[in-house]
Amino acid sequence: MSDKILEIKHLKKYFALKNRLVVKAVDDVSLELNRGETLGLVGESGSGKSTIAYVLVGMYEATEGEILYKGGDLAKAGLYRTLKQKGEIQIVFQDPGSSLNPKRTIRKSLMVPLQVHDRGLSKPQMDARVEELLEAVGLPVEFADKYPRAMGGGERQLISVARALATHPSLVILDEPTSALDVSIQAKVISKLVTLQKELMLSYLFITHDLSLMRNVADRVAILYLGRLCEQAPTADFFEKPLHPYTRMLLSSIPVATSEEEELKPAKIISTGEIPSPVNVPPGCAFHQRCKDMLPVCSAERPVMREVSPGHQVCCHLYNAN
Amino acid sequence: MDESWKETLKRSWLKYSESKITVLGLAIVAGFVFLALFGERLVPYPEHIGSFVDFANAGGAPSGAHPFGTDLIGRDVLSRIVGSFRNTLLMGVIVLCISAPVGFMVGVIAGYNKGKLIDTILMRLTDIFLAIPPLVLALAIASVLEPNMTNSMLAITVMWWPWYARLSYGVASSLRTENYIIYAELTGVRLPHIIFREILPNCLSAMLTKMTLDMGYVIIMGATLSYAGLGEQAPKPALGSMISQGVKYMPEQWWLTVFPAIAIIVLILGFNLFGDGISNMLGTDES
Amino acid sequence: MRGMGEGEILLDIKDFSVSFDVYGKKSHVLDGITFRVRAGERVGLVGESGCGKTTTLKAILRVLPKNAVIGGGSVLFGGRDVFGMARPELDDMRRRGAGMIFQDPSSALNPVFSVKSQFLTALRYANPPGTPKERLYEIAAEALDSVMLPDPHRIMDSFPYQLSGGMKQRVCIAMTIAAGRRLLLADEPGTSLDVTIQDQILRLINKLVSEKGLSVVMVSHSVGVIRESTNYVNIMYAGTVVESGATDDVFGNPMHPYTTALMSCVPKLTGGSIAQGIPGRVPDYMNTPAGCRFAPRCPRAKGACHERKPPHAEAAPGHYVSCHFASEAV
Repeated sequence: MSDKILEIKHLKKYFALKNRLVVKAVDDVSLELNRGETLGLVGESGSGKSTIAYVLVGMYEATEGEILYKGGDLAKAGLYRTLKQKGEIQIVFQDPGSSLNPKRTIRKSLMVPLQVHDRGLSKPQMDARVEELLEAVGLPVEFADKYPRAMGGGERQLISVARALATHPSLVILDEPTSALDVSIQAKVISKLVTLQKELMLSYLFITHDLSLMRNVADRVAILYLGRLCEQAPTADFFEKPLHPYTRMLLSSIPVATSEEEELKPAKIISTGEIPSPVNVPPGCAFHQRCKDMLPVCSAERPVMREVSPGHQVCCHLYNAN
Repeated sequence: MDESWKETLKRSWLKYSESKITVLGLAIVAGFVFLALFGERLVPYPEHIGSFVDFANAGGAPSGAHPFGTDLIGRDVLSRIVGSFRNTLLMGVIVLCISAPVGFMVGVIAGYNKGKLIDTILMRLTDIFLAIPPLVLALAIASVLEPNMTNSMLAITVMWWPWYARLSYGVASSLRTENYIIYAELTGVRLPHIIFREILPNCLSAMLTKMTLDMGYVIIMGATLSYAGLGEQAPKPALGSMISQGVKYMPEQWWLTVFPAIAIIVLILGFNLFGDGISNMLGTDES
Repeated sequence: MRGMGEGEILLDIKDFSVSFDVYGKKSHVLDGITFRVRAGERVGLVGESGCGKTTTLKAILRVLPKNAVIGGGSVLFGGRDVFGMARPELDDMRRRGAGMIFQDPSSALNPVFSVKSQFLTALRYANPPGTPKERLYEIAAEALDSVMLPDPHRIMDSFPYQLSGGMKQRVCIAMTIAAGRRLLLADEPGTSLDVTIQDQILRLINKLVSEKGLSVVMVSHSVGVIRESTNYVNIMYAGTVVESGATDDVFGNPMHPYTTALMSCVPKLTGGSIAQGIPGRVPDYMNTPAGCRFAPRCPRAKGACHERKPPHAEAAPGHYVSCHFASEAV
């Protein structure tokens, strides 16, 4: 199952602001994704999780580092990728309100990728493909001639999924696809995504701030804080033995719906402090100002990622000694 | 499908007629367009619209036979006012139908490339046009060229497109960060698709609203040029030139000035109200 | 009728209904909402978007949109009917009685005025006319201190854009409590913030309630937030309260089919898998079902459900359910 499809090595993405400030949105992140796997990339605002997604789809050019997709390097390609590469890596955006053009019918929106990637298709063939795509995500064919405003948020997101599937991708980046939806709608969209993944052997990079959701859909979870990776582990391991102090604070901050979950949370770590601005990342470990277990070294030296048990990596000075 | 069309039409009407006064605007505009198309055949003295002379009835005050009076060479003022409508409408339509697409293209290309060199060039150019007082520019152009209807339209068009460039610039520069545009780029579609298929439909309602509101202003501008003698030439009637010729005979022969002036006021009021209604109708489209 | 607490009843909503006129048609949004808030109580309204949570909050402050029509029932604040109040009394209730904390703190503060000027304006109306400015400033600084903002004087001189989301929300809370209000209406107060910051805000609200004896109506779409920050909960679906009771009872032993379905859709930290969602859609408010509003989506619906509205009846001590077959579920 170590069929690597995507490998990100020491990815950096800096944005230069006016007055010489630099936002280190992504600062030395390394990740791997296997075929058919879901990697949950979790972080709060300013963590750089969406920036990673945008670099992967080619919206931004990486400042440094490598993105190996099926062996080829995408880091520098930016928008100048081949059509095939564009088709194989697809993205579903967060906001169902802005992912579809409000003035165009669903049919026209779904035809956008087909017109580019399947030029040979005749009009009836196109219509057939559109219907096929709607059926694949479990929506009625009649939706083709409706406008986005006639639909709920969940349905719009499913249409975005259908549009992403139009080019037969192997990697789909899900950028908070359900965070704007109600839970009952989220459940529908997620269960569809899970089915599609199995049917089509898709790999998902699932970007979210919702750890509870990742517990249920991800194979592995990675935590980002201010552009840096804190911890990465197989899902079960991650929730049973969270190591990084930030991960533990995050887990104990989640409001949960049942008392069984309450017991599973790590001993309550009272959330303190604010997330610093990504323009002004603290020296050493980015989290040290909010950390209960801070060591003197934390404010001076940036910790490195190390593997503490198979597949479980953590980037924290506390785990350096043993 | 038919049912949903009816439904849409009914909703649109409800939105349009939410404010009752806009219905009056619609009536004025409809009446104006009707008269512009068929007025020449309906007026009491169709031959008076051209070069007609009847010194026996010259300078006659409003009466039963001539409700708006007659002018200095005996032509019926009512007939001449109605007779000028066709050119007035034509001027508005042509000016807007040229300046809107031109402005759209300039604005959309600049807005979509916001922050790049092309944006700076196009929008500074637009700003230059906007910085010149419109009337001065139009007068300059119209006076350099031969004074006639075509050249006055040209003059107005030259100073009108920057407003549409501004409008579509705003829409395009905000839309370029919308996910569906980003998606289209990432998938590899070409620029014309993004401009005409993705951005244009989103500009359309704002442009349409502005066009109806602008109709009134274009009519004023046309009347101003013809008042200055730079529009339609005699013997054809134009509201502006009728006023400028009549004003010398104020206040004795007041009807020469007052009736064309009222016609202008009513038209502009009508188009403004109509524009408000259209804006109500298209404005809250999303809900 | 409600078992919780014995404190004074601060807010009493009885069988309250609201509809909206939409282009000549009626949209029946709230349908017979009933709940009470006693002094010192934290009451939750939980439901999905469009279920009428925010409309309920707006009704309490009488800030419903112009096209709203009250269909029946009453909203009593401190024993007085909010919709029967004369202007001065209503103003007084809004200034000193009940205050709203909004979901998005960025749009709740005006970006072009300093915190100080906005804060003092709000306080001027809430305090007797002629209260010296220095006194108002003191009250404001105390309030900022009580929401655990460090260095209140610096905050007072800041503009909203200089503060983070969490700090802005604290400022909003401070503005609400500084006027001596007894009821906080919190509309998704942590939803637009990060999880760790949301946790801080919710803990702050809980702390204020227990220290100052305030009452809270907490509105949220998140079952988890409501479970952790209220002691009494109303589950709302399509403008009706389908289940209500002590928070632990309702979430520990959900009886209404909608509550059960909703709970199954919430992703759990304990894992397992996610439910398939609830079949069907929320009903169109223009054309609501004649019987139970959940009946068209309910797996247990029978004839009666489609014909008669179920009463909000006590199914277990202190635990009320609007379902014809509530007893069968247990």
